[in-house]
Amino acid sequence: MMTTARKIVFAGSMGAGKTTSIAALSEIPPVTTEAVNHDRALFDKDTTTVALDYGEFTLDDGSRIQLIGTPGQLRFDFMWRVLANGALGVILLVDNSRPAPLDDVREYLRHFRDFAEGARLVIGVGRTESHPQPTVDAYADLLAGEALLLPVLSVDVRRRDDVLMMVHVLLSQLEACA
Amino acid sequence: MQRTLTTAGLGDKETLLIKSYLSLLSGKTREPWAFRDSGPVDACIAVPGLDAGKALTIRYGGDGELRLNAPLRVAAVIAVLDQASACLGAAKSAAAPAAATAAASVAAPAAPATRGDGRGTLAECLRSRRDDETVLRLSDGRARVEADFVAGRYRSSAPLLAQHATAADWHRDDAPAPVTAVEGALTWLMWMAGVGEARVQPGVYRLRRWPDFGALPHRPEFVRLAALFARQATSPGAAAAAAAVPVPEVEAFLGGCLMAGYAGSEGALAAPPPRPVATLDDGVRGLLGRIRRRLGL
Ligand SMILES: Nc1nc2c(ncn2[C@@H]2O[C@H](COP(=O)(O)OP(=O)(O)OP(=O)(O)O)[C@@H](O)[C@H]2O)c(=O)[nH]1
Ligand SMILES: [Mg+2]
Repeated sequence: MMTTARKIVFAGSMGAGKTTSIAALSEIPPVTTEAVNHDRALFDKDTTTVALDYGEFTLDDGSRIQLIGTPGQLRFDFMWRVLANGALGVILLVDNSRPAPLDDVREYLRHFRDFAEGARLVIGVGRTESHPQPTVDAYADLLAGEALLLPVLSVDVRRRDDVLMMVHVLLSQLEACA
Repeated sequence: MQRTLTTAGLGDKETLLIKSYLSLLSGKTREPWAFRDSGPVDACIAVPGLDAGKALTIRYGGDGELRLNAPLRVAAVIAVLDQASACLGAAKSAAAPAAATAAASVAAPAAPATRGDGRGTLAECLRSRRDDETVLRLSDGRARVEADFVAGRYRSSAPLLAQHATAADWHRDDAPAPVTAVEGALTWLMWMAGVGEARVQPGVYRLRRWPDFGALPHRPEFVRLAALFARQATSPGAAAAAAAVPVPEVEAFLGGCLMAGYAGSEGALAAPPPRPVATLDDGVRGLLGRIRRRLGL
């Protein structure tokens, strides 16, 4: 039997919350390839994902939605586009405590330009409670400068409702954009 | 007698929780309570403000207010509903206040922009700001609000509820600054005021910026409306039809967006004919529907 596999991609820098988001939605424990973080200077975390995160949930017709987390480290950026190929949409997670999170977003938008222009991309900004700058408005300004109108939401992916909200926003964009 | 209850400013999950509590409690409260998504109601459960921790407030009648602490416990919910029943009964027999109204269901048009006594909705008072005014101090007799248009912040002497935003007895009050109970981004205040007023001029509107649904109280329909207004300039009526939501809901959404600067008018032109949605083939539409069902969205 042919089953149509569809996927939603979670992208974002190291520690932005991709694995946490996938775990919130997946009905199987997310399969994660973790390895020693060689970029300790960049991000102080023992392990970081070097391959991809994988989770899934099953729909009532038996088909599956795959949840793919792209590797956070920049040196894996060649994989981002490959992984996103054919995806329904991209949820781009931003860690607002990073040194230059606006630059991160600029970089990701470059890689996911098709998704951004097709309004199939949601930006979720995390850690805003401890790092209120840049503001959500600053992200919207950046988008406006690139002639893009995309949702920017302050989220905490440790709350499952916030992850669901990002999916609700993504689906609403897909439904509105013929 | 049958009592009705709605929620304002709560997340989907919390509203669902309240709904399931109500069905769970049938027969356990002094009077039966039913949930209403819109329309006039006897009571409304709201979050006092994003910064005010986890307590919920249940408002009924004119000024009645009870608190519900999270996590919700069945016994506490029963006690609070019974207390509201008792107060509503007492108020009725004293021929006192009309039923509370949910933010979404302001059926009657709001008060005219300039009433003789300078009173109006919170939105009207905020809009009455002159260019040279950087701070506005307002009161509705229950809460005093200071809106600082330079700092982009507001503070309030009491948590602001949906009912505060829909009330039409706001006026300027230049007494010394209020004791702060709640404070936050001015955008939040503007949004609440606009959603509560739920009134827009006929015309065609377009989203300029997505509201931060992570921070602003909203109902799930608002997200679908934002996606529609982001895609093309649309009239409230056309958006209501496309999203299958009541027009007052669209007006609440647009009211908030216009006040907070998330949407703008594209003039009084007729809405452009909607772009055909045929390219979103039935297969994809069905798939999106199944994802929604699976995740409860
Ligand atoms: N305080 C706070 N912590 C967060 C937030 N979002 C995520 N976290 C935490 O950040 C940590 C990293 O999250 P992960 O889900 O592992 O991030 P990731 O994107 O998968 O990271 P890599 O796999 O290393 O690329 C977890 O402990 C999360 O709980 C937030 O908004 N605020
Ligand atoms: Mg990870």
